Amino acid sequence: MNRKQGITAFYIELLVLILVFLGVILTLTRIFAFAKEESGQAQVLTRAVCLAENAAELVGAAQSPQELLALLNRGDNAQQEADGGVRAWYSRDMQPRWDGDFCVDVSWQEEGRLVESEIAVYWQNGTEPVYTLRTGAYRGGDGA
Amino acid sequence: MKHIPVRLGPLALLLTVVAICMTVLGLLTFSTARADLAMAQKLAASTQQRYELEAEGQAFLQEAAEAAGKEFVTKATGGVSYKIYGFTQEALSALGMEKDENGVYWKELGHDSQTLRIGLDFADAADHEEKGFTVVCWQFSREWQAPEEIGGLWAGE
Repeated sequence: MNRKQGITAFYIELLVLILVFLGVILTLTRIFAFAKEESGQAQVLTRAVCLAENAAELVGAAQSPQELLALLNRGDNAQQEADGGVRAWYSRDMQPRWDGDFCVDVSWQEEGRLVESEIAVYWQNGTEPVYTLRTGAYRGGDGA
Repeated sequence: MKHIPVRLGPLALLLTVVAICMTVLGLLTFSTARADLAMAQKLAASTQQRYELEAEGQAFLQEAAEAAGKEFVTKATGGVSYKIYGFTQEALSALGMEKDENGVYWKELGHDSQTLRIGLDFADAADHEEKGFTVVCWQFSREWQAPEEIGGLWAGE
Protein backbone atom coordinates (compact mmCIF):
# COMPACT_ATOMS: atom_id res chain seq x y z
CA MET A 1 0.00 0.00 0.00
CA ASN A 2 2.82 2.36 0.95
CA ARG A 3 4.72 1.52 -2.19
CA LYS A 4 1.65 2.31 -4.34
CA GLN A 5 1.16 5.66 -2.61
CA GLY A 6 4.82 6.47 -3.10
CA ILE A 7 4.59 5.79 -6.84
CA THR A 8 1.46 7.98 -7.17
CA ALA A 9 3.14 10.83 -5.29
CA PHE A 10 6.18 10.47 -7.54
CA TYR A 11 4.09 10.78 -10.71
CA ILE A 12 2.13 13.75 -9.37
CA GLU A 13 5.35 15.51 -8.40
CA LEU A 14 6.85 14.79 -11.83
CA LEU A 15 3.72 16.08 -13.57
CA VAL A 16 3.73 19.30 -11.55
CA LEU A 17 7.43 19.79 -12.28
CA ILE A 18 6.91 19.30 -16.01
CA LEU A 19 3.92 21.65 -16.07
CA VAL A 20 5.80 24.39 -14.21
CA PHE A 21 8.78 24.01 -16.52
CA LEU A 22 6.53 24.12 -19.59
CA GLY A 23 4.87 27.29 -18.24
CA VAL A 24 8.27 28.94 -17.80
CA ILE A 25 9.34 27.89 -21.31
CA LEU A 26 6.12 29.23 -22.88
CA THR A 27 6.38 32.57 -21.05
CA LEU A 28 10.02 32.93 -22.03
CA THR A 29 9.22 32.09 -25.66
CA ARG A 30 6.75 34.96 -25.73
CA ILE A 31 9.30 37.31 -24.14
CA PHE A 32 11.96 36.31 -26.68
CA ALA A 33 9.49 36.74 -29.56
CA PHE A 34 8.48 40.19 -28.26
CA ALA A 35 12.13 41.18 -27.87
CA LYS A 36 12.86 40.06 -31.43
CA GLU A 37 9.94 42.08 -32.75
CA GLU A 38 11.06 45.23 -30.91
CA SER A 39 14.63 44.74 -32.06
CA GLY A 40 13.39 44.37 -35.65
CA GLN A 41 11.36 47.57 -35.34
CA ALA A 42 14.45 49.40 -34.08
CA GLN A 43 16.49 48.13 -37.04
CA VAL A 44 13.86 49.18 -39.57
CA LEU A 45 13.47 52.63 -37.98
CA THR A 46 17.23 53.26 -37.85
CA ARG A 47 17.61 52.31 -41.52
CA ALA A 48 14.57 54.39 -42.49
CA VAL A 49 16.07 57.44 -40.75
CA CYS A 50 19.35 56.90 -42.60
CA LEU A 51 17.63 56.54 -46.00
CA ALA A 52 15.49 59.63 -45.35
CA GLU A 53 18.60 61.63 -44.40
CA ASN A 54 20.36 60.53 -47.59
CA ALA A 55 17.35 61.60 -49.66
CA ALA A 56 17.14 64.94 -47.83
CA GLU A 57 20.78 65.69 -48.61
CA LEU A 58 20.18 64.82 -52.27
CA VAL A 59 17.21 67.23 -52.36
CA GLY A 60 19.63 69.92 -51.18
CA ALA A 61 22.12 68.99 -53.89
CA ALA A 62 19.69 68.68 -56.83
CA GLN A 63 18.60 71.66 -58.91
CA SER A 64 15.55 69.96 -60.44
CA PRO A 65 13.39 66.85 -59.99
CA GLN A 66 15.17 65.30 -62.98
CA GLU A 67 18.53 65.85 -61.31
CA LEU A 68 17.15 64.36 -58.11
CA LEU A 69 16.09 61.28 -60.07
CA ALA A 70 19.55 61.04 -61.61
CA LEU A 71 21.13 61.28 -58.15
CA LEU A 72 18.83 58.67 -56.60
CA ASN A 73 18.78 56.25 -59.49
CA ARG A 74 21.27 53.41 -59.17
CA GLY A 75 20.52 50.44 -61.38
CA ASP A 76 16.90 51.36 -62.10
CA ASN A 77 15.83 51.53 -58.46
CA ALA A 78 14.11 54.91 -58.83
CA GLN A 79 11.36 56.42 -60.91
CA GLN A 80 9.83 59.83 -61.45
CA GLU A 81 6.29 60.35 -60.17
CA ALA A 82 3.57 62.28 -61.98
CA ASP A 83 3.64 65.07 -59.36
CA GLY A 84 7.36 65.66 -59.91
CA GLY A 85 8.51 63.63 -56.93
CA VAL A 86 10.78 60.64 -57.04
CA ARG A 87 10.26 57.13 -55.63
CA ALA A 88 13.23 54.88 -54.94
CA TRP A 89 13.57 51.35 -53.54
CA TYR A 90 16.28 49.92 -51.33
CA SER A 91 17.07 46.50 -49.93
CA ARG A 92 17.19 45.65 -46.20
CA ASP A 93 20.89 46.51 -46.13
CA MET A 94 20.09 49.87 -47.77
CA GLN A 95 21.48 49.03 -51.18
CA PRO A 96 19.64 50.39 -54.24
CA ARG A 97 17.41 47.58 -55.48
CA TRP A 98 14.25 47.82 -57.60
CA ASP A 99 12.49 45.06 -55.61
CA GLY A 100 13.76 46.20 -52.22
CA ASP A 101 11.80 46.26 -48.96
CA PHE A 102 12.27 49.98 -48.34
CA CYS A 103 10.44 52.49 -50.50
CA VAL A 104 11.53 56.13 -50.26
CA ASP A 105 9.02 58.67 -51.52
CA VAL A 106 10.48 62.14 -52.12
CA SER A 107 8.12 64.98 -52.96
CA TRP A 108 9.29 68.13 -54.76
CA GLN A 109 7.47 71.45 -54.36
CA GLU A 110 9.06 74.52 -55.84
CA GLU A 111 8.02 77.97 -54.72
CA GLY A 112 10.18 80.60 -56.33
CA ARG A 113 13.72 79.69 -55.41
CA LEU A 114 12.67 77.59 -52.44
CA VAL A 115 12.22 73.85 -52.79
CA GLU A 116 10.24 72.08 -50.09
CA SER A 117 10.28 68.34 -49.85
CA GLU A 118 8.65 65.71 -47.73
CA ILE A 119 10.34 62.35 -47.57
CA ALA A 120 8.37 59.29 -46.52
CA VAL A 121 9.94 55.87 -46.00
CA TYR A 122 7.73 52.78 -46.31
CA TRP A 123 8.59 49.25 -45.23
CA GLN A 124 7.47 46.18 -47.17
CA ASN A 125 4.71 47.88 -49.17
CA GLY A 126 3.05 49.23 -46.01
CA THR A 127 0.44 51.94 -46.36
CA GLU A 128 1.71 53.95 -43.38
CA PRO A 129 5.24 55.35 -43.57
CA VAL A 130 7.63 54.17 -40.88
CA TYR A 131 9.37 57.54 -40.99
CA THR A 132 8.82 60.98 -42.50
CA LEU A 133 11.15 63.92 -42.86
CA ARG A 134 10.45 67.46 -44.06
CA THR A 135 13.25 69.50 -45.52
CA GLY A 136 13.85 72.50 -47.74
CA ALA A 137 16.52 74.04 -49.93
CA TYR A 138 16.91 77.62 -51.07
CA ARG A 139 18.59 78.15 -54.43
CA GLY A 140 20.13 81.53 -53.76
CA GLY A 141 22.34 82.15 -56.74
CA ASP A 142 23.58 85.37 -55.15
CA GLY A 143 26.01 83.68 -52.89
CA ALA A 144 23.23 82.91 -50.46
CA MET B 1 18.18 -7.48 -7.15
CA LYS B 2 18.93 -4.16 -5.50
CA HIS B 3 16.22 -1.51 -5.91
CA ILE B 4 17.51 2.05 -6.65
CA PRO B 5 14.88 4.68 -5.79
CA VAL B 6 14.37 7.54 -8.27
CA ARG B 7 14.26 10.86 -6.45
CA LEU B 8 12.89 14.08 -7.90
CA GLY B 9 14.78 16.41 -5.57
CA PRO B 10 17.96 16.84 -7.66
CA LEU B 11 15.96 16.95 -10.91
CA ALA B 12 13.66 19.67 -9.53
CA LEU B 13 16.69 21.63 -8.37
CA LEU B 14 18.32 21.36 -11.80
CA LEU B 15 15.15 22.47 -13.59
CA THR B 16 14.75 25.41 -11.19
CA VAL B 17 18.31 26.58 -11.88
CA VAL B 18 17.74 26.21 -15.65
CA ALA B 19 14.46 28.16 -15.41
CA ILE B 20 16.09 30.97 -13.40
CA CYS B 21 19.00 31.23 -15.86
CA MET B 22 16.64 31.35 -18.83
CA THR B 23 14.43 33.96 -17.14
CA VAL B 24 17.44 36.20 -16.50
CA LEU B 25 18.54 35.75 -20.12
CA GLY B 26 15.03 36.53 -21.34
CA LEU B 27 14.79 39.70 -19.25
CA LEU B 28 18.20 40.89 -20.45
CA THR B 29 17.21 40.27 -24.09
CA PHE B 30 13.94 42.09 -23.59
CA SER B 31 15.49 45.12 -21.89
CA THR B 32 18.22 45.35 -24.56
CA ALA B 33 15.65 45.25 -27.37
CA ARG B 34 13.54 47.87 -25.62
CA ALA B 35 16.56 50.13 -25.15
CA ASP B 36 17.45 49.67 -28.86
CA LEU B 37 13.98 50.77 -29.90
CA ALA B 38 14.00 53.73 -27.51
CA MET B 39 17.37 54.87 -28.88
CA ALA B 40 16.16 54.49 -32.48
CA GLN B 41 13.05 56.55 -31.67
CA LYS B 42 15.19 59.26 -30.05
CA LEU B 43 17.46 59.38 -33.09
CA ALA B 44 14.43 59.55 -35.40
CA ALA B 45 12.86 62.42 -33.44
CA SER B 46 16.13 64.34 -33.24
CA THR B 47 16.75 63.97 -37.01
CA GLN B 48 13.20 65.10 -37.73
CA GLN B 49 13.71 68.22 -35.60
CA ARG B 50 17.06 69.01 -37.25
CA TYR B 51 15.64 68.82 -40.77
CA GLU B 52 12.55 70.76 -39.71
CA LEU B 53 14.92 73.51 -38.58
CA GLU B 54 16.87 73.19 -41.83
CA ALA B 55 13.63 73.69 -43.79
CA GLU B 56 12.72 76.71 -41.66
CA GLY B 57 16.21 78.13 -42.13
CA GLN B 58 16.04 77.72 -45.89
CA ALA B 59 12.60 79.38 -45.97
CA PHE B 60 14.07 82.19 -43.87
CA LEU B 61 16.86 82.66 -46.45
CA GLN B 62 14.22 83.23 -49.11
CA GLU B 63 12.45 85.80 -46.93
CA ALA B 64 15.77 87.50 -46.21
CA ALA B 65 16.68 87.55 -49.91
CA GLU B 66 13.35 89.18 -50.72
CA ALA B 67 13.83 91.80 -48.00
CA ALA B 68 17.47 92.50 -48.84
CA GLY B 69 18.68 94.75 -51.58
CA LYS B 70 15.83 97.19 -51.28
CA GLU B 71 18.05 99.57 -49.37
CA PHE B 72 21.71 100.48 -49.44
CA VAL B 73 23.56 100.75 -46.18
CA THR B 74 26.95 102.30 -45.60
CA LYS B 75 29.71 100.00 -44.51
CA ALA B 76 33.18 101.11 -43.48
CA THR B 77 36.10 98.73 -43.79
CA GLY B 78 39.73 99.76 -43.34
CA GLY B 79 38.90 103.47 -43.27
CA VAL B 80 37.02 103.30 -46.58
CA SER B 81 33.26 103.61 -46.57
CA TYR B 82 31.12 102.27 -49.34
CA LYS B 83 27.49 101.48 -49.90
CA ILE B 84 26.35 97.89 -50.00
CA TYR B 85 23.02 96.15 -50.05
CA GLY B 86 21.51 95.42 -46.68
CA PHE B 87 18.38 95.29 -44.58
CA THR B 88 16.41 98.32 -43.54
CA GLN B 89 15.54 98.68 -39.88
CA GLU B 90 11.96 97.66 -40.67
CA ALA B 91 13.12 94.57 -42.52
CA LEU B 92 15.44 93.70 -39.65
CA SER B 93 12.65 93.84 -37.10
CA ALA B 94 10.24 92.02 -39.43
CA LEU B 95 12.75 89.21 -39.89
CA GLY B 96 13.72 89.22 -36.22
CA MET B 97 17.41 89.70 -36.98
CA GLU B 98 20.17 91.45 -35.12
CA LYS B 99 23.22 93.17 -36.52
CA ASP B 100 26.58 92.93 -34.80
CA GLU B 101 29.51 95.41 -34.85
CA ASN B 102 31.08 93.62 -37.87
CA GLY B 103 27.97 94.15 -39.96
CA VAL B 104 26.91 90.52 -39.81
CA TYR B 105 23.19 89.86 -39.46
CA TRP B 106 22.16 87.10 -37.04
CA LYS B 107 19.02 85.04 -36.74
CA GLU B 108 18.28 82.21 -34.34
CA LEU B 109 15.63 79.58 -34.97
CA GLY B 110 14.67 77.08 -32.31
CA HIS B 111 12.74 73.87 -31.99
CA ASP B 112 12.46 72.30 -28.54
CA SER B 113 16.06 71.92 -27.41
CA GLN B 114 17.66 72.38 -30.86
CA THR B 115 18.75 75.73 -32.24
CA LEU B 116 19.91 76.90 -35.65
CA ARG B 117 22.04 80.05 -35.73
CA ILE B 118 22.26 81.77 -39.09
CA GLY B 119 24.73 84.53 -39.93
CA LEU B 120 24.36 86.64 -43.09
CA ASP B 121 26.98 89.03 -44.42
CA PHE B 122 26.76 91.48 -47.28
CA ALA B 123 30.47 92.30 -47.23
CA ASP B 124 31.34 90.36 -50.37
CA ALA B 125 28.11 91.33 -52.07
CA ALA B 126 29.61 94.69 -53.01
CA ASP B 127 31.71 92.85 -55.58
CA HIS B 128 28.68 91.09 -56.98
CA GLU B 129 26.60 92.58 -59.71
CA GLU B 130 23.40 91.27 -58.18
CA LYS B 131 22.13 91.98 -54.72
CA GLY B 132 22.95 89.15 -52.37
CA PHE B 133 24.40 88.00 -49.11
CA THR B 134 26.74 85.29 -48.02
CA VAL B 135 25.80 82.78 -45.36
CA VAL B 136 28.71 83.02 -42.95
CA CYS B 137 27.22 80.82 -40.23
CA TRP B 138 24.83 77.87 -40.30
CA GLN B 139 25.20 76.22 -36.95
CA PHE B 140 23.03 73.67 -35.19
CA SER B 141 23.31 73.33 -31.45
CA ARG B 142 21.48 71.48 -28.72
CA GLU B 143 20.95 72.30 -25.09
CA TRP B 144 22.97 70.26 -22.66
CA GLN B 145 20.75 68.06 -20.55
CA ALA B 146 22.37 67.05 -17.30
CA PRO B 147 22.06 63.35 -16.58
CA GLU B 148 19.36 62.59 -14.06
CA GLU B 149 20.28 61.32 -10.63
CA ILE B 150 19.39 57.70 -10.07
CA GLY B 151 18.26 57.09 -6.54
CA GLY B 152 20.99 59.25 -5.01
CA LEU B 153 23.77 57.02 -6.31
CA TRP B 154 27.35 58.26 -6.20
CA ALA B 155 28.05 60.08 -9.48
CA GLY B 156 31.73 59.17 -9.45
CA GLU B 157 33.00 62.66 -8.68
